[in-house]
Amino acid sequence: MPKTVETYLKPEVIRTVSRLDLRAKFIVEGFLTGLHASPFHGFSVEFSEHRRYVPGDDPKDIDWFVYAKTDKYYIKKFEAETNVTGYLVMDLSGSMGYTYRQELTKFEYCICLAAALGYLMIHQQDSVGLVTFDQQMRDSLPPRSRRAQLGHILGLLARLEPKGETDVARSIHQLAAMLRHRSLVMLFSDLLAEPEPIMHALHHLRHRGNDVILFHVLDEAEMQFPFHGAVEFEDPESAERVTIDAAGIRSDYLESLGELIEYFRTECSSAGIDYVQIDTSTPFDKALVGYLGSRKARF
Amino acid sequence: MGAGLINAGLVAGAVLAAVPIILHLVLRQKPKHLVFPALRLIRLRRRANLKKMRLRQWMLLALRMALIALLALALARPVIQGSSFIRDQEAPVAAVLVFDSSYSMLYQQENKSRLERAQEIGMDLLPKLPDRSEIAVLDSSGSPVVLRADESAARERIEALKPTPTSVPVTDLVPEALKALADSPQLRKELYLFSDLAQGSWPSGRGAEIQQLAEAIDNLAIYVLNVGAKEPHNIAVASLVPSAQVLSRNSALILRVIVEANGTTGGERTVELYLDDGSDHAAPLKRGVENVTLSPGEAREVNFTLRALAGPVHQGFVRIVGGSDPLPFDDQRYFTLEVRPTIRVLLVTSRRGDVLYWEQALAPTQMVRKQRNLYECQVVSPKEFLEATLDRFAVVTLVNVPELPDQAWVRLREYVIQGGGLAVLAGRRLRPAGYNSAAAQDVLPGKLSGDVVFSDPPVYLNPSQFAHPVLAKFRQWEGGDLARLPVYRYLQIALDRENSLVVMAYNDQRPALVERRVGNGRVLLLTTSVSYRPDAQNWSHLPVGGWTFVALADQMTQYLAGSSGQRLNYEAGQTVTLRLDSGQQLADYLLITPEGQEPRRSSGSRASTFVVAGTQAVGHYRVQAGPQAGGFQKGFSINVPRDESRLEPVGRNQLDQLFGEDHYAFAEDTSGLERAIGESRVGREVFPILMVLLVGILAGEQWLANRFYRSENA
Repeated sequence: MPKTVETYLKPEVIRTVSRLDLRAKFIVEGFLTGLHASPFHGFSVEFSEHRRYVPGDDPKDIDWFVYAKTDKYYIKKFEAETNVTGYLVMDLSGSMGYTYRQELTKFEYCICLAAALGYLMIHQQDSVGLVTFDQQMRDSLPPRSRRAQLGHILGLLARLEPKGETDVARSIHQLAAMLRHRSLVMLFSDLLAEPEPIMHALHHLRHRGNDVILFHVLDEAEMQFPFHGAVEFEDPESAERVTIDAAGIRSDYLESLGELIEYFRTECSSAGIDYVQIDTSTPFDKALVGYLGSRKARF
Repeated sequence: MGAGLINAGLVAGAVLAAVPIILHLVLRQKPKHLVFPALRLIRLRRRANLKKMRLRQWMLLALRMALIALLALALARPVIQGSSFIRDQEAPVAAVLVFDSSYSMLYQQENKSRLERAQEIGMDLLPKLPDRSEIAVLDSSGSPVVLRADESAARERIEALKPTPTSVPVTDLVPEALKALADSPQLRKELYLFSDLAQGSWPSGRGAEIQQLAEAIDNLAIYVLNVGAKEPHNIAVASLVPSAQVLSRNSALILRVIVEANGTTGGERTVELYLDDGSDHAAPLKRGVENVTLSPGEAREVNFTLRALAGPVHQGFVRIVGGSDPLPFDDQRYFTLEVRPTIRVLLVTSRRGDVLYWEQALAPTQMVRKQRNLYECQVVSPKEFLEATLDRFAVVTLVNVPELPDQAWVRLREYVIQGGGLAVLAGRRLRPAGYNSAAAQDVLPGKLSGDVVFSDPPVYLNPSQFAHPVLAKFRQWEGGDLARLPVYRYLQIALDRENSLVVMAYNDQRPALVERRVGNGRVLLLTTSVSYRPDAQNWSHLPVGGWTFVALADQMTQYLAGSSGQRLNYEAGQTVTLRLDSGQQLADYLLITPEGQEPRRSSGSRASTFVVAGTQAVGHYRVQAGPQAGGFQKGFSINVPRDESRLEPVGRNQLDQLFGEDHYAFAEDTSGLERAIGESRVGREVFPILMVLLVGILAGEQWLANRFYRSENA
């Protein structure tokens, strides 16, 4: 049965949500109802023109310089009010197709996140596109703001299977070179590669004026390492196998993971990149709402 | 001795220490296969983690293996310092039990003597020896060591133990015991020493020999059991010394008694002197009493003076009374005195004045008047000498006699052979040629030279050794004035080396006083003169030497008369020698001991000396002979050796020097002895230590495992 928007926007596939579109709408509308403004407002602003103030406009947008000159109230209009070009960038490497005991693989979880964010942007009449990558960029959909765009994105993602190795850094460099205008790049990946090249690539992306949100998605097992006894682990991308005593290495693994996460958090913070670390055991609506709320608070 | 295992077979259980390894290999699970994308993060830490994990695993494996191995070892009950490698702990042993039965073991504590206590412990020990063990019992009497597998005989022997006044030191018994043990075929040898460790029985000096003998014996265990009293104390008659043991009828005797308090307590005592009246079978009567008060460790001297002793033999004792004493044997000491009639001396001189000083030295006029003279002197001329009956005199002294005919020398020789004493005193009238005849040389110690030595400055007597009976008493006077009285002239003598000896020389090394023994008698020759004239050139100043001259004359005459050096008081174990007088011979005699009368004996010879060896019984002895043997009565006394009163025990370091440190076990009671025997035969079990170690390892394994797993689960 082909996967639909409804499939990917159901955060708890089996038990709780009956209609995923209502759920996504609830998230978005509830958020908007509560916050009165898009969370993407106020970044990459560029002044476009003035218009007469009408009751209901946000008084903080009044151009007081014009008032001083004219004694009349005019509102500054920004490009951000009119359009944001967003790109949903999906890691399609083999590791993204992994889950130990969750209902959703990392890839499926990311699709849920992407679907919600895509819906949000289209609802604001912003354009959103899609880029997938593994060792390099693979597929892409140019940004559109029409309502059917989300279906196209999800339809494409539904046909794809994560496989093969990944080269996140190279793919991001490619993306950075591809983008002509400043865009909002929402990167979904497990970042299980050398972190320094990835950060270098992200710096490249930022250097070209793009806004970046990095969703570092890991499986619950990758976060908790709930294994015991002798285990032969196999890397799904390189097929490398390692036999270890899981209990014995657990603390060291978690320490390494913590260092990795902390590295990205610190580097992203200094680069002005939003870093969102999520594990797939967290209901994605909570994860998303939590992130969106924190972002709104900053703006 | 070394180490061993009581249950050696259980050591095989140590192979179970391999079980953890086998379990690990057999039960090792095939690892689960899981896909895990974050392998890179594992790889980053894998090498260090692997090392850490391997170390932990090795530690736990080692602990678990050690646990099993230690448990097996503990169950095998290892022992150290035991002979337990001899499988059968009940194999018979060769055991020598040495009992110190010296008189110090009579010390009473808790109503039993030390010897009784040793006997009790010995009796308890016998049934604990393995069956068919060979046992020998030794005591201080020095009986031979005979190992026999006869417990009842050993028991009887122990029961029959009695104190021995003539005790062989324990250190002399040990080598004999070790030699007997070395010859025994038994695998295990044991030597038990029961003693109060009093120093008298443990003289040093045989440590090297004992250790050498012990090292040559395999599986030897030595046990020293101290049965002595803790902090012994004793008041004793430490010594009793009469001023003379043979004295003349008219002389006085001083008995010097030393009373000693040993240990930590002193006390008051009464010292009593008892003496018989000199007749046979007379009971002693109290003749003196003195009180003494002693502090701990103090010795006091008490003197008793006896006069008008009739003789011929007086026997008595001194004892202390008035307090309780845990060691009674040394509260009394015995003594014997012999009283003789005045010694008759025949002085032969050609001029009365030559003999004046010598005669006065022996029998001072005042003493003769008071009838307190020790000597009775008769002065004759050489011509009268030829008619004199010599048998009536104990000593004949030729004083400055020019010469004598050969028949006179023949008579003198016969007289001396029979036991008489002859003194020849030189002078200016003496003609050396008359003394060098063959007949004279049969008597005299050498040929006189015709040259008179005129010494200027004068020479002096040099009493360098005081071993000779004539000079023995001068030792205590440090020679008196002998070395200060000048001698200006003396005769030279060519000694008959075979028959003579120099009693005293001048400080120019030439002989002054020379002795020769002829038959039963003695001859003394003084090469200078004993005459003195104030207005003349005298040969020496000896005659005016005061008491020194008197003592010299007295000692020379006593010696010639056979009185000096006669000893009548001995310690148990010493050989008694009694000299008979001239005319007395030992043929048949009766010996009366403290234990009673012994059957009449016959020596089978005509000896003039009575010898008794190895006297044991303490007390008075009498020797009586009938008229056919000269009709004499002699006596002597035997006392316990003074060393037996020395109760101070030897220290552990002295025992270490005797046996070697750690080569013997020391105990002070039965339980200590049993423990020592157990440790020696079985060895000191290490089981308790192993169990503590086991618990420690178990706790350590648990703690480590929890720590490792807890950190992994954190």
